[in-house]
Amino acid sequence: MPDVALNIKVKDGAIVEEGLSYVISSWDETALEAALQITEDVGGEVTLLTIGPDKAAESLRKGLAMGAHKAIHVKYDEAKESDSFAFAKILQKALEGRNYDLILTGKQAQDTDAGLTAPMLAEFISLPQVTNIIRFSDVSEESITLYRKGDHGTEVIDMNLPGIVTVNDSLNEPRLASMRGIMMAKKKPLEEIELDSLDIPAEMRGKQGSMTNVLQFEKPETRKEGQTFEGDEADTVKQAMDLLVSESKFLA
Amino acid sequence: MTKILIVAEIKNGEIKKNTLELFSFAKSQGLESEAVLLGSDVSGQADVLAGQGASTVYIGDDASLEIYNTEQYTSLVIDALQQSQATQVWLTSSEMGRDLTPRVAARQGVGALSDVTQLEINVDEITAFRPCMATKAVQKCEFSKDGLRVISIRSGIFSAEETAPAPANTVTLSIPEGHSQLKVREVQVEESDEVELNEASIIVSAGRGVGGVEGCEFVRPLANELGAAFGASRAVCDAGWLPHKHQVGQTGTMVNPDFYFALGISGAIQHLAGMSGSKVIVAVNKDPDAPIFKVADYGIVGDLFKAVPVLREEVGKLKG
Amino acid sequence: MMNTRMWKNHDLNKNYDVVIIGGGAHGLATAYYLSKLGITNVAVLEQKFIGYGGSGRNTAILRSNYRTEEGIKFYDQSLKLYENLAGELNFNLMFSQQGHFTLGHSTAALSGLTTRAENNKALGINSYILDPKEIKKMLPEIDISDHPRFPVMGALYHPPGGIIRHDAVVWAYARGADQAGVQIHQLTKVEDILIDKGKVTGVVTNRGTVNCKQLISVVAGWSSDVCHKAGVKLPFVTHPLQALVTLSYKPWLHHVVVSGTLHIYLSQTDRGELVCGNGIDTYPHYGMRSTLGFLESYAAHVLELFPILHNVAVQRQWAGLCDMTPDYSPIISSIDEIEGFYVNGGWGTYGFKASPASGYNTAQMVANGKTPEMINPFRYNRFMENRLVGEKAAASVSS
Repeated sequence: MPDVALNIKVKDGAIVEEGLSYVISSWDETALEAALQITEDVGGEVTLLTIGPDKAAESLRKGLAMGAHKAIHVKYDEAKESDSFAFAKILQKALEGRNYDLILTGKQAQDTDAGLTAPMLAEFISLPQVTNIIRFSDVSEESITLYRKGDHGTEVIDMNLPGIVTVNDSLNEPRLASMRGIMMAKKKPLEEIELDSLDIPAEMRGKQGSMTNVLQFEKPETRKEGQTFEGDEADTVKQAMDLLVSESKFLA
Repeated sequence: MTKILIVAEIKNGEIKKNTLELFSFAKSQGLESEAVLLGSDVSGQADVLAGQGASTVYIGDDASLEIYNTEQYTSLVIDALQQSQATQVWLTSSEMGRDLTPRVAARQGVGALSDVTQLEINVDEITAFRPCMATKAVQKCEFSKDGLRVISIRSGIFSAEETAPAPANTVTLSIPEGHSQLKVREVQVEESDEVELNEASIIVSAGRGVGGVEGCEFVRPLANELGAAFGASRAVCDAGWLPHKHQVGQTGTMVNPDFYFALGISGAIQHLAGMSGSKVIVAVNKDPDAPIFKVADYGIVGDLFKAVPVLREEVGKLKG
Repeated sequence: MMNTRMWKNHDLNKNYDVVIIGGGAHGLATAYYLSKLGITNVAVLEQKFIGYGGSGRNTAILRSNYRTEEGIKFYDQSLKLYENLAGELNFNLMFSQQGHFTLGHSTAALSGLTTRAENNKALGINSYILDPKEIKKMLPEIDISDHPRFPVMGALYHPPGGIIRHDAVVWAYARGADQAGVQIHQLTKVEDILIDKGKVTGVVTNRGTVNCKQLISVVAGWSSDVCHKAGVKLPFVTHPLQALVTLSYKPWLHHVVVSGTLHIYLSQTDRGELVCGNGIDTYPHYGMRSTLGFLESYAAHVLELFPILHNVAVQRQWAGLCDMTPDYSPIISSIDEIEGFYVNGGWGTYGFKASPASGYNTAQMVANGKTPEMINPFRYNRFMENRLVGEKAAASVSS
């Protein structure tokens, strides 16, 4: 998905494609790092799964270069037309008949910032979910202990496997691919699946399969230009505080 | 007929401000609202919700609900929903709301719109605006099919109206089993008497510039004296200088207070995305080119260790 | 210190004696050397920020051991100017003359390198052939066994070659030019070139129209585009060139290493990062997008030379634009059809090391109205007169 650290331009109700650079969503990289750490610790293998157009394969290969063992690419050119609900349904189909102990993903996608898909998928495949984790411990074949950043503190949760976890980027610092990893990635299995072979009818796809719809994109409200104060803090803070009170009614 | 079921949030036995904001907004739109109130020893708060306009309060009160858990809370909201026949479910986009919103929607077989910051309602036709791409763009969205509307709304968007409690019309929900595969062990709460980030009208935040735990403690009294929530950047929390619940930003808590003081925060993109909705921003940073100054209304280029004592002194004068 | 600026911002004047399009190392060097010749009513117009293009995207390798007489003399002048530049501009350019290897992996390649060594020697350039054992002594980590697909059979070694801090070169020339009175205008894009009766009269920019008598295009990857605005057609083809940088490691690589056959080059900076590049992307393009394909091919090739790098992590990759000419040599030339219009381009993958000589000679040409002997071979009409320079063998994977 687009690298949101770069400039994002909105024009005529749409995001301007030109100048966008496509990357793995940063929270998903955190999820991959967590998965790699788990398999390094207790064994097993990491499979990457993405739904998207041809160019999404590049992100999978980058993930393989980081150390994932294999990848599945569900090819879907109009992926952008689907909402979280439709994505969760397609993921459900893609996972049918496959074995897994733990599904990890980012707490949200960095383009939509919605955070809906993973819990919806969890519901559709009847798995427990723990979202927004900042730590994990005690990984075994049967269970994992998760530390979730909740509203009133860190919630400590034991989850039996299989289950779904979404990660907060405080969890780890994703590794960079090594030269050897980059080279080995070319030889790792990358399974390509056409949407048609997943028995996904037209009414599950795109806008038809979606429950919500983005009418258009708009520019966020820009803040009016502020004032800057330079000099001795004793003076500048007083000046700023005076204006804060007179202009902005601070503590009024 | 449009009817809103609002999922109430509780902290320290009291209804949170972000919940009151949702009731006030429903009332301002002339919409009928009901509440679902979940937790341990929370029944007493039903009158507060009735005072806010909840025509019925569905109560799930049980020790097992002390700490939020996805499975029981989802089942209880669905139970309330079925009894209420509400056409919309509103939640706040708190950590609980973010976890619960998609699960409730999926169980009802419908979609959801999360973290909404502007809402236009015409019966059950909804136009919602929600920031995306690290707040660099805003999506204008709608529900494209008929059915239940499930929405989570960012706190601080609507103003909460103070109302007197009123006798509530209550319905007691039966407590379901939790998920057999999940066991919530505990919640590690740190200093729970503090003002919460998404509740605060003033936030004082410390960044990497505070230099360490001592630096955080140097800043904290300013927050206390202002009755403000104490926030922090990701760098501060990742370094372990403050617990993660203080973290402001896309990864932490998204905030929209009236006043935001950024002290020694350079303004990484995810931090800016999480606080640039604040009404007034004051920033202190040594680096005149720090990105935080792009969003600050009052930017003080200087040393926070010199600025904070002056700020405290000025606040002291204002508080008289 | 906080507010001392290395160069000032100015309003755009109505009239300049000379307008330079392009605020890279070449454009700023041209401005600097013009100012040394007493011509200071000069504007450098940069569409983005100075050093945005090739100057900020190259791998900062300097050398002069080219193949042809024209190339050798020119790059020798450039290297000598570089050697004195830090002192002249009072700016630490972190120039490290650590020595430069061009590896040969076949008898044909070795014979080409031997020709270069002889040509270099004849023109007084320090450059000679080493056998694999001698190479191994200086590069203990290199694999000289016969296991790789392309074993190392020898190298052309060039002791004065090395690396420099590329941003510092840009900033130093900018400051030097600014101090002499040249105006640097960033975010100023040339939209049209004004020509009246065969003479340059000015340029139209996004900030207004500017009059000038002399106009120099020094825009590397965007040369075709700027020349098109003047109605001049020259044989530039723009290709992307990619590079990458690894995380920092303990210093272990003390020389620049280039392999034409494997299409790679690498060096280690003072900070310990490995700066790596390869040949141009095969397709003409103006996009500066990094590709995974580059990363994959680089990794495969570099591991053949240096198997110890297998765990090295790639920090970042990027791309720049190269304006290639048919003979892999630049065009530095007045344009006969348009009085007052000069083109400095075609720097392909070998432009950064040429910055001082390019700027120096362009300034001479513009100031004196006469092409200096040194750059006479690089006039644009060589393509019409069929006398190409023939640097391809030494410049294709250059740097």
